[in-house]
Amino acid sequence: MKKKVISVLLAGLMVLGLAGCQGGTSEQESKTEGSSGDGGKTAVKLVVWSSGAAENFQKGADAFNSRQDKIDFQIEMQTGDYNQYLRAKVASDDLPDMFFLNPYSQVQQFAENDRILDLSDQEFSSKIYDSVKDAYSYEGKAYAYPMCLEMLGIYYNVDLFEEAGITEVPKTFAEMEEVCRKLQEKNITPFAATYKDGWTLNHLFSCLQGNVVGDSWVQEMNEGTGSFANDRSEEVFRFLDLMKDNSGSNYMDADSTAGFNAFASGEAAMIASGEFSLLNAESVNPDLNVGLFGVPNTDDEADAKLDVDVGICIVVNKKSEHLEETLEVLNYIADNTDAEGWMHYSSDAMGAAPPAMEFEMQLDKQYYKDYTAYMESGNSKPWIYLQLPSGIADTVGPAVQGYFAGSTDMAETLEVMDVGCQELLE
Amino acid sequence: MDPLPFSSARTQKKRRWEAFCKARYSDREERCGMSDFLYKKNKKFYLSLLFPALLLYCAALAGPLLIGSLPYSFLNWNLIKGKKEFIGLGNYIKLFQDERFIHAVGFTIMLAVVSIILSNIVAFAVAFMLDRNVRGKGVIRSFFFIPNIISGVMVAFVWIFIFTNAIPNVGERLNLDYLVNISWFGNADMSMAAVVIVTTWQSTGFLMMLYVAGLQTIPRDVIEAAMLDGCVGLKKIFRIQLPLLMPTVTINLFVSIAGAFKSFDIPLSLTGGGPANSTQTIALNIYSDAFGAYKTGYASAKSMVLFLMVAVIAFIQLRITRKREVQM
Repeated sequence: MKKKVISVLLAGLMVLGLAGCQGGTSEQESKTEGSSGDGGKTAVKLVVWSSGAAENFQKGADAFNSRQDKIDFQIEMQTGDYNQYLRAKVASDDLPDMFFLNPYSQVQQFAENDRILDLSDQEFSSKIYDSVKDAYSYEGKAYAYPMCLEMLGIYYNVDLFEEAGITEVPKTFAEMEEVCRKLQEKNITPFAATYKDGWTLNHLFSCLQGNVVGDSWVQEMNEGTGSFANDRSEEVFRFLDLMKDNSGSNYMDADSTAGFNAFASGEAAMIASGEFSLLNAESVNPDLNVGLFGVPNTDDEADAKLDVDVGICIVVNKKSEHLEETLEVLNYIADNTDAEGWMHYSSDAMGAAPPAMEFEMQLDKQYYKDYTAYMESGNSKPWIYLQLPSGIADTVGPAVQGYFAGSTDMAETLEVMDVGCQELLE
Repeated sequence: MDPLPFSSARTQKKRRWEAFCKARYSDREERCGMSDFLYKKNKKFYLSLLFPALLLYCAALAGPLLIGSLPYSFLNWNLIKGKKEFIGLGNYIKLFQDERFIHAVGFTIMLAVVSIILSNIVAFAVAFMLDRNVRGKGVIRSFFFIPNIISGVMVAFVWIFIFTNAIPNVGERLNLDYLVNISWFGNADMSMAAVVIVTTWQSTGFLMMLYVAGLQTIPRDVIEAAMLDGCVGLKKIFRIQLPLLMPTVTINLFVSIAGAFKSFDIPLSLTGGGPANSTQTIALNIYSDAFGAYKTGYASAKSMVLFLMVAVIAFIQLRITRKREVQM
């Protein structure tokens, strides 16, 4: 009898412990509160996905809250699966006041379902660079605020270029070959390798392919009638060959972190990547003198554009309870005349994604000046892979990796990509 | 078996007991003993102890498998587009023609076989050597066990450093050009070898602990009697210790097989699927289909196939090693 009582008690204890655990681990939200949050203030909530930049967003929110007493701007970071969170909120019709979305298809999907507010009449609409309009528009109207832009191109070490006697950035393929030759003469590794990580190769291929395809290519690919191969594919693959020959030895062993660190510590003169590759430089060598130029894989100077596209879109929930206050917060976020405001906290650092309009940064780096010059002259093109079917990155990255590893040739690589794309369309 | 009418309660009980014994030991020559008697008496109590664990198992594993994965595997479901349509066995037919999946199956089987054999041999050797009175036996055993505690991702990061930094450095100091220039992740073969090495390294510790425990259950007098009769060295290992260790070997093989087929974290963190998906295991292939290409219906079908594969192999292996168990 005693044995039975004890065993029942123990079983009950175990179940209780389990229930406690369940409650703890099923919480997927981690609230990072701004100021005290009560006392008659209207709370406006911005939900962000998990990223290393959440701290910076919080600082931006704190700056806003310290300036006025009416609104309490709160940032909530979702540590779990962001898309799952969104789907749950859509199902319960309980979307937050403002939240992050991916550009293009996600913004268009939410706009189509009439869940987000048309922001065409807001102040920022006229200030955004023209070249990125498609990323946040639906049926010609602006449905999101593009919070930051990401740029892919070739970042180069200005000091190492000077050492090798290179005075001008290359704009054609022939000039690129010349640059590599000069660097090799001085025993400087031209490119920092990152090829163990497939996604870096997807970015590279997107830049290269963007230069050799026509205007209708994206549509053809989405309909299933197009192909990655065309008669200009040679211009893509000769650039890949150039990189293979000029990335040092054992380039397949280096992953993205190793590559970023190699560039930051001056072991390599160039890296074909995005501005995020400079985040490592902040801790390794903050004085790194880094410039930027567009990928030159054709013989035409005009093709060497920078690949710039929207990174994060902020949208406003149409059914928000405090629309006026929400829009006020949005205007704070979009204010580019505010030197100590949101843009300063989220974009004013080496490696941070810049805002989608002119902004005077306190950061004084060559690459940012180069970027501004490209944007103001309209010399940019979108990230072409973002407009292809979702999941294409996972197909293109490994395919290019096969080419780098020498296991497939040009025709086979393009075939693998085509087959992969067809499968995504099913 | 029909109890005869008008037979006493005593004969009925006896007949039921005989039936129970026959059913329990039908395939062996043994007889019912005390442990079986206690088992029959307290059967209900034992089952009730199992109940919470069984409930958890159903809720966490069996439930999602049968209510989630199985029905989803008959759909063509694109997670991002939200398109869901019933296609019956379409997914299953497709996966048997999927080149990448077949390659993944081949690689996983190769990885499983090689790493199971290697890690069991190494684990047994280490356990055997640590069985006698070596100084610091406990500490050495913990050192061997530590790789098992470290998460797969950390293990992979440590080994990336070893492969890309430490080994070339050692090669430079020793003037071994081959080691300096070797590209561990440059082609498919080297990447596969790297994954096998790291997987074996991590799983050896756990198996070693089980072998140590198993070796300690072998009664001393059996070993002494064998040695007196002149059975020493390799003969002793293969004729006496291994047969008596069969329950341990059963558990080890069972754990290794299930683990090796589900191998995911090490290939993902070490090679990311390798140059051009050459070191992609089945689990990694399923993951990339579900969350890379958003084809969740197709991935569910592959998961069901993986489940069946592991179940069949584990079942066969359990039967074979069960028969060879020798009970003292």
